Amino acid sequence: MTSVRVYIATTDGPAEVQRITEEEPNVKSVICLDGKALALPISPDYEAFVRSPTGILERAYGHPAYRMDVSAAISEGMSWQLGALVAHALLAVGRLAQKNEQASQVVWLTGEVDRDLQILPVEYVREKIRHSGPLLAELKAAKVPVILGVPRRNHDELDTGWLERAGKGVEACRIVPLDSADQILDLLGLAAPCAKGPQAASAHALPFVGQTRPMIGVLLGLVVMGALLSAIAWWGYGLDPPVRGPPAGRAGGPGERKGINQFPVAAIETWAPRGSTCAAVNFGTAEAEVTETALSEHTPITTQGAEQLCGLRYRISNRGGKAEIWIFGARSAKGSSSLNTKILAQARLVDEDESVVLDIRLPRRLQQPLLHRLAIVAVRSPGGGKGQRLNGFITALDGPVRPAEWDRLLAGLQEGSLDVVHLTHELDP
Amino acid sequence: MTGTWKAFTQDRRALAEQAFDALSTLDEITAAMRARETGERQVGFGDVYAYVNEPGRPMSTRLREALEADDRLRDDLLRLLAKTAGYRCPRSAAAGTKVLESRHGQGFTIRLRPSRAEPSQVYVVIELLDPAAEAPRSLFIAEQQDGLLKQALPEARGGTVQLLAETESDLIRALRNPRSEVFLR
Amino acid sequence: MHGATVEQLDLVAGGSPELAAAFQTVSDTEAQGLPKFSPRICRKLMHSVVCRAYAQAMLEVCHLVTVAEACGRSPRRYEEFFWDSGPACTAGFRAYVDRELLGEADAAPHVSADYAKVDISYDDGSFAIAYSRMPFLSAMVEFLVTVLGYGELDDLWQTMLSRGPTAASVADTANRLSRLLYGHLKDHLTTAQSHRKFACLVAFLRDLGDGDFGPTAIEDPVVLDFWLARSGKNSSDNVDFRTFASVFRAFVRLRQVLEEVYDFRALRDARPIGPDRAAGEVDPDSIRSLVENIDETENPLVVLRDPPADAIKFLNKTEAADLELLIASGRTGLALPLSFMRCEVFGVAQARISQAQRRKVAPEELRALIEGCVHDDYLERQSRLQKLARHTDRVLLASLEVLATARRPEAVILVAALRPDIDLRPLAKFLIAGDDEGKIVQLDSIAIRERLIAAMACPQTVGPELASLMGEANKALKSLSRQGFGEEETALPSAGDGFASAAQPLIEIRRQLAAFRRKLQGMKLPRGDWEEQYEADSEIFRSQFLLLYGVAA
Repeated sequence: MTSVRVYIATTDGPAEVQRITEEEPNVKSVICLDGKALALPISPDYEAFVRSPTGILERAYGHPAYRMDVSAAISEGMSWQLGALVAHALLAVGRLAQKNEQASQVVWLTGEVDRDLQILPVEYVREKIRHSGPLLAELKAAKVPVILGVPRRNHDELDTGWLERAGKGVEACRIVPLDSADQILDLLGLAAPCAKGPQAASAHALPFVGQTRPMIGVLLGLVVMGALLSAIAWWGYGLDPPVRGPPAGRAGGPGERKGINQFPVAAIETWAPRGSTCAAVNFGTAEAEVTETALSEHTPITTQGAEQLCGLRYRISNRGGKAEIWIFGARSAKGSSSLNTKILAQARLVDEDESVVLDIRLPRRLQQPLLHRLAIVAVRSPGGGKGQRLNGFITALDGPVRPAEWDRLLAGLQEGSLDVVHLTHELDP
Repeated sequence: MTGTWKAFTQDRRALAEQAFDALSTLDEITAAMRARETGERQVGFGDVYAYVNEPGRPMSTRLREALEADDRLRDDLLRLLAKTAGYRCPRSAAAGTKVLESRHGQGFTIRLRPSRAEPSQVYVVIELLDPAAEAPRSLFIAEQQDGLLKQALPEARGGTVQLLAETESDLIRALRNPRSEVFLR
Repeated sequence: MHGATVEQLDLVAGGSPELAAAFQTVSDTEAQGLPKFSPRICRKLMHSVVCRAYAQAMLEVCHLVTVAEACGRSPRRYEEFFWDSGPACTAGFRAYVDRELLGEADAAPHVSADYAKVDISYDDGSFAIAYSRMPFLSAMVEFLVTVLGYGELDDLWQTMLSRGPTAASVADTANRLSRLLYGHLKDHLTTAQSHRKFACLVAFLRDLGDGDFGPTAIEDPVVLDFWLARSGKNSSDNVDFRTFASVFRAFVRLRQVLEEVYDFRALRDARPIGPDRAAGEVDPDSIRSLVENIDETENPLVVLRDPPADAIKFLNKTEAADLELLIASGRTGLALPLSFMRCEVFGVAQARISQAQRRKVAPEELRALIEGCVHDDYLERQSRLQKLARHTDRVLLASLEVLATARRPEAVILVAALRPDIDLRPLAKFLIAGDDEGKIVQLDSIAIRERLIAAMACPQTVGPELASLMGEANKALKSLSRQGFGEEETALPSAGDGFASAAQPLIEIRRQLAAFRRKLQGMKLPRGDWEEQYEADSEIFRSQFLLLYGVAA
C-alpha cells in the first residue's frame, strides 16, 4: 500500500502534516509546530473540527482528542480542514507518511470542509501554489507524484495558461478541482467517513451550516450595522447607558403623554469661561460653564456663537412608560438639500424616568450654520406591524434623503402608531 | 512693601524660617532628581499593577530587580494578586515532598496530563466549574524561595483553558510544587 | 519604600534620598506609555509634602477612595480608578466616572456627579471632589503607596470601606493616614540643617547691618563676601556653603522669603498648632501658601514641559538649562545680577571641579582643572543670553503664524506682546461694526477678536505694520525645523492647543530675558566693565577654589 504525505497549503508555503497522535480523551485537540510544546492559535478550531457533536473526525474515527504536528505555522482561516481530514483518513488506514518516512504519493490540499464534506472555496490559492514552487520542484525531481486538491470554484478562477507555464496540471502534478472530500479520498483509494451527524451540529465549527435567518433580518442587520458604522465615523457620538433621572411630576399616566411631553430633550452645552479656551477646560485649568436648554418639537432652537462650544450632549428622557427606543439623527449645513441620516441608538430598552445621553462630537471649525435633526422613535408594545414599518423606515434611510422626504418618512412612522418625536437644533457659528 | 528683620513678629520670623526651609528642601530634592534625569525610571506600584493586570506584559528586568531588592514591593504584589485574582489555589496543606498532578481551588481545577505524542510535554488543563464565569487571562505561581512566574493564558473554550508545556519547564515544576501558590486572573 | 535605586540620588540635605527617590518614582510613573502626572502636579505634590500641608489632601484622598470603590469593578475596585484610568488629567477622570459610575444605573446611589465634580452623600454628611483636583489627589495616592506601601494603605482603606463609609469614618481614616505619613516624614524630612542654614545667613546679615536687615540688604557684595567667609570653614554644624551656587540660591530664597513674608496676609488667619505656636510652629497651610507664592508664580519652563506644550520643542535641552537659573531666580535675580553671572560662570566651573574631586583625580590634575575651569566668560555668557532672546522671538513669531492660521485668540496676545505699539487703526473697520469713525479697538469681545484674527490672515487689509509682522511670523515658522514646527505637525488639530498653552510662558520668558539683559547693560560694575570684572573675579574665585580643594601652593 502506498503511503501518502499530506501538505496543507498556506500563503507562507506548504506545511507538512508530520504526525497525528491520539491524546487522552480529556485534553483538547491541538495542532503543534514540529513537535514543540507550542499549540498553534488555530488549535481551538481544530478541536471543534475533531470533537463531537460539532466536529466530524470523532464521529468518523472514534476518538475525541488528537495532536497533529505540522512542519510550519498555520496562522488563521479554515482552509487547513481539507488537509487535516485527508491526513486523518490516511492515518486511520495506516497510510499517512509521517515525518522522515518515505512517501510514494504527495497530496497538497487547501479547502474548507462543511458537515456534508462539501469543499468550500478559500482565498489566496494562487499565492499558495506560488509559494509551494520549491517543494513541487523538489518532488518533481524526486519523481514523487503530486495531487493538488483545490475547491472547484478556486480552480475555475485560476489562469490555466499560468498553471501550464508553472508546470502544474501535468500527470505528475495534477490539479484536481474538488466539490466534495469524497473525490480526493476516492482518488487515494480511501473510504469516505460517515459525515452527516446529528442536527445538533452548530455553525461554530463548520461554516455556512445550520442557522438560516429570515432575509429581512439579515438585511436589517446589514443596514443597521452599516448605519452604525457610519454614525460612529460621522457623528462620533458616545451613547451612554440609560441614566435614571429624578421622577417627573406629571398630571396623568403614560398613556396621556404624547410627543415632546413623553420625551423631553435637553441640549447640554459646555462652554469655556470668558477669556479662556476649550483647551483650558479640557485640561482642567479652567472650569467649564454648562448650560442646559430644552429643545422644542415645534420651534427650532438655535445656539448662537456655537464656534465657542466645547461640548454638546443631548439628553433624551423617557417620561412615558418603558419603551424600546430608536434614535435617528442627521447633521447638515443649513439649507442643504440632502441629509445623511444615522442611527444613534437602536432598540434601547429605556425605563420610565430614565434618560439616554448622546455625546456629540462637534466639528473642529464651525464656519456656517449647522442643523442637527433628531428623531426619537419609541416602540411601547410589539405587534401591529410596527417592526415592519420601522424596518421600512431604516431601509429608506440607507442613503441620502431630502429634508422633505425625512419629514414624510417620519410622518409615515407616526401614522403607524409608533411614538415619534422630531426636533431640530441649529448651531450658528 | 517690605520690612526689616527687627520689625517682624515672632510669627513672621518663624514663617520665614520654615518657608526658607521648605524652599531649600525643594531645591535640593529637585536638583537631586534633575541630576539623574538621564537614568532609567524608578519602578513603582504602577509597574506592579500593570504587570499583574496586563496578561501580555512580561516582568521587566527593572521590576525583577526591584522585587528582589524590596520585600515590601514583593508583598504588595502578592497582596494585589490575592485581592484581584478571580481564582486562587493556596499552598497544599499537607505539603510534603510529593509532587502534585492536579491542583484544586475554589471554582477551578488544574490537571497536568502527559502528552502521548511527546512524553516530554504536559498538557495543563484548567477547568472552571462555572463555564459562564469570566475566564482568567493570566496564571501566576508564587513560590516561597524563587520569584513569581506568570503565564498568559489562551482563550477559554467551554470553561476549559489548555496549555502545553515542557515537563521540565519552570511552569510545570512550579505547578507540581506543593508549596507554591497559584492565582488565576 | 519602592524604588531600589535610591543610592543613585545624591544626598539631599533637608529630605532624605528615599524621599527624593519617592518623588522621582511619582514623576517617572507612566500610564499607557505616557507620563502619568504632569510636572506641575508633581511640583504641587512636593509643595504639600515638604511643607507638611497634607491634612486636607488626606481627607480628599479618603473620600476619593470611596468614589473609586463605587466606580471600579470587583475585585479590583479603587485600584482600577487610580491605576487603570490612564494619564491623570481632569478630563480623563471625568470620562472614567461617566463611564464606570454613571453608566451603571444604581451602581452607587450615594455617589452622583455633574460636569465639574463628584458628590458623595453619607448618612452623616456629604463631600464633593472637583474633577480638576483628582490629578493631584491621584499623585498623592501614588506617593503614599510608594512611601507607605500598598499593604498598609489597603488595610486602612479596606477597614473604612468594609464598614460602609460615613463622613466620620472617612475623616477618621484620613487622620490615621496623616499620622502614618507624619511618621514616615519624621525620618525622611528633616529640617535641622535648613534651620542652621537660615540661622547662619540671618546672623551674617545682622552682623553687617548692626542687628537689623531687610531683603534689600542682600546685594551682590554680600553674596560674595559670605561665600568667601563661609565656604572654607569646616562645616562642624553640617551646613554646606562650599559652592558659590548653593550660597547664591540660599540668598535668593532668603530674599524671596523676606520680600513675601512681610505682606503675607494668610498668616493673620493661620491656625496656631496648639501650644507649639509659642515655640515657633506655623500652620503648614500658611507655609505652603507662601512657598507656592514664591515657587509657583507659574514657572514658565514647567508649563512648557507640561502637555500639551510638551509636544512642541520650543526649547532644546541646552536652551532650557541656560534659562533654568534665570527663571528660578525670578525678579530676585534682577536684584543680584552680578551674583547671577558669577553663578553662571564660576558656579558652573566649580561644579566641574567638585565632580573631578569626587572622581578622586590627582592633585596636579585638579589644579590644572581649576586653572582652566571657566569655559564662558561674562561676555560670552551674555552673548548666549542674547542668542536665547533671539530664539525666543523667533519661536514667538512662529507661534503667531500657527495660532493666526488656526484662528486662535492667543494670536492677539502674541501680537500685543511682540509689537506693543503697533498701529491697529487700519483694522478698525473690521472691528467696530456700524461705526465708520471708530478708532477704539475693543479686544474684549469674542466676535471682534474673531474678526481681528480673520483679518490678520489678509496682509492687504491689516496695514503695513501688522502685515510686516505676519510676514516675519510666516518666515520664522518656515525657518524652524524642530519637532512640532513642521508643516504637517502644525496642521494637526491638536497643534493649536500646544502653541496656545505655550504663548504666555514664552512671553514671560522673553520678558524676563529682556529685563535681565537690560539690567546687565545698565549696571555699574565695581571694576568698570565686564572684561575687567571677569579678570578680577577670576583671580578671586581661582584662589578660593585652590584653597577649598586643597591644592593651594
